[in-house]
Amino acid sequence: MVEAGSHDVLLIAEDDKEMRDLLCDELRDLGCRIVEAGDGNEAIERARDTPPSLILTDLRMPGGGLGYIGRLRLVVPTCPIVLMTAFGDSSVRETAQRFGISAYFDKPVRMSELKDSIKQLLNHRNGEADK
Amino acid sequence: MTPPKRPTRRKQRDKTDDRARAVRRVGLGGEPEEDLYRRIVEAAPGGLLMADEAGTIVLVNALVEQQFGYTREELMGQPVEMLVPERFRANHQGHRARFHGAPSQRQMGQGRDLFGVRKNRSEFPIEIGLTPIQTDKGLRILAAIVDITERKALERQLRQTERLAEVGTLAAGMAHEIGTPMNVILGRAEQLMRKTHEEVTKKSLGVIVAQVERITKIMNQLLTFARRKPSERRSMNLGQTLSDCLEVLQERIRLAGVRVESNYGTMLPPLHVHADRDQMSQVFLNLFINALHAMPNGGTLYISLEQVNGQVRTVIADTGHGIPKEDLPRIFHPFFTTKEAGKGTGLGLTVVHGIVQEHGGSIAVDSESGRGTTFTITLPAAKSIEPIANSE
Repeated sequence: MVEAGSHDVLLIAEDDKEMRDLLCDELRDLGCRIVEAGDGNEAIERARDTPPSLILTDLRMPGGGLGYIGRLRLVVPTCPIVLMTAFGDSSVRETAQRFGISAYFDKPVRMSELKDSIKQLLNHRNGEADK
Repeated sequence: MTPPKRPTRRKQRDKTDDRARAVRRVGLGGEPEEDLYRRIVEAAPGGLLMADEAGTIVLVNALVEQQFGYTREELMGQPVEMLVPERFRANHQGHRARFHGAPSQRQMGQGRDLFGVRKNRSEFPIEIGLTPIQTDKGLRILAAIVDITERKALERQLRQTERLAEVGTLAAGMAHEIGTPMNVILGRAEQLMRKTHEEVTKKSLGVIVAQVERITKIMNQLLTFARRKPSERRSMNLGQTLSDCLEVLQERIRLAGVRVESNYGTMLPPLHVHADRDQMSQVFLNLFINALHAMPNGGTLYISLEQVNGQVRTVIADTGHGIPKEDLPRIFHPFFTTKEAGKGTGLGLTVVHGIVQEHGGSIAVDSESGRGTTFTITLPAAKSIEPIANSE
C-alpha cells in the first residue's frame, strides 16, 4: 500500500481566507501538493487544470452550492470529495450522498478528524490505484 | 305543479291562537313584555349588567353570575365597582361620572386592558360595551361584558409561536455565518495546543476549545428546534416511552442518588396518545435531565400518568431546588436559563413547549423554591390504538 504523499494533489476550495489558511497549514504535513481555490468556479477550473487526488470543499461559497458539486462531478467523476458546510442539515447530507461524496463534515470540524478522514481516503485511493 | 293551497279559515284561526298562547306563555307570572325582555337578557351570549346613575347594579343576567362568581342577590343593589379590581376602583368612579355627562354607545376603556374581579378575588380580562338607556326612572347604563381570557391566551400563544419561528429563521441564518469563524478559532487553538509545552498556555487553549464546543452545542440545539421536521404521529404507548427515557438515563439517575417513583408500570390498558415518539422522548429526556440537575444531592423523581376526560396527563415532579416564582413566567422563553453559565443552553424547555404545543397539548409548571418543581403535560388521548404502535 502506498501512503498519502508528494505525488498526491489536494484541492482545497474555501472562500474564507482564514479557514483556507488553517486547512492548508493543517493538511500540509500530509505531504501532498496543495492547490487552493477561493470559490466554486475557481475550484472547477483548478480541477480541470490539475486533476486532484482529493477535493476538500466548502459548500456555501460564491459559485458553490449543490449545483457546483454536480458540475465538479462532471469534471472529476471518480475523485473523492470531502464536503464541509457550517451547521449543515440532513438535506445537504442526502444530496451529498447522491453525488457520491466520500465524507461530509459539519463546521466547526475537529482538524484531527478531518485529517484522519482525508488520509484514509487518499490511502484507499492509492491502494486501489496500486492494484 | 300544484298551486299552493290557500290556508283555510280554520288554519288561520289556529295560528292566531298559537301566537296568543305563546305570548301568554311568555307572560307566565308577570307582564308578558317584561318577561320576554328578561328572557332575551338571559339568552344573550355575553354577560349583561345594568346600573343606574349612582352606579348601583339594577339588573344582571345569569352569565354575569357565572363570570364573577356572585349570585344575583349578592349583586343587586351593590355598587358596580365591586366587580372592578381594587386598583382601578377610584378611577372607575371618575370614568363613570364622565360617561354620565356625555352618554353614548361605545366600547369601554378603548386601548386599555380591562379586568373584572371575581368573588374569589381572582381577576380576568374583559371587554365591555356600554349603552346608555333613558328610562322614566332616569338614565340606565347597560354593560355587555365579554370574558376574553381564552382569546388573550390564544393571542399570547400566537405571539410565542411567531417569536419562536423568527428565532428559528435567525438561528439558521446565523449558524451558516458563524460556523466558519468558529472553525478557525477551534482549529488554531488545537494547533497551538499541540505545539506548546507550557502547561498554563495549554490550559488556556483548552478553555478556548471547550468554549467553541459550548457555542456549537447551543447552535445545534437551536437548529434542531428551527429545523424540526413535521412530526410523524401515530398511536404510542406513553408509559413505554417514559420507561425507555428513564433507561437511557439510568446511570445518571443512580449516580445522582435519585429515587424514581412511578404509577404507570402496571397500568392496564396502557395509555396511548397520537404523537411522534422521537419528539415525545425529547420532551421527557429534557424534563428528566432538568429534574436531575435540580437534585444534585439526590431526591425523588415522581412520574405519573392518568387519563382525564379524553386527555392523557403526564406529571413529572422532582424534589429539587425549585424555580423562583419570578422566573416561572419565563422558563419556556428561548435562552432563559436558571442554570449556571455553561450548564444550560436555555433552549431545552423551549423545545419541550414547542413540541407539546404542536401536538395539540399543553404544559403547565408549578414550583416552589426549595421544595421542587412539577411539570404537567396534557395531550389528547389516541382515539384508536394501532396494533403496530407497541411493537416499536
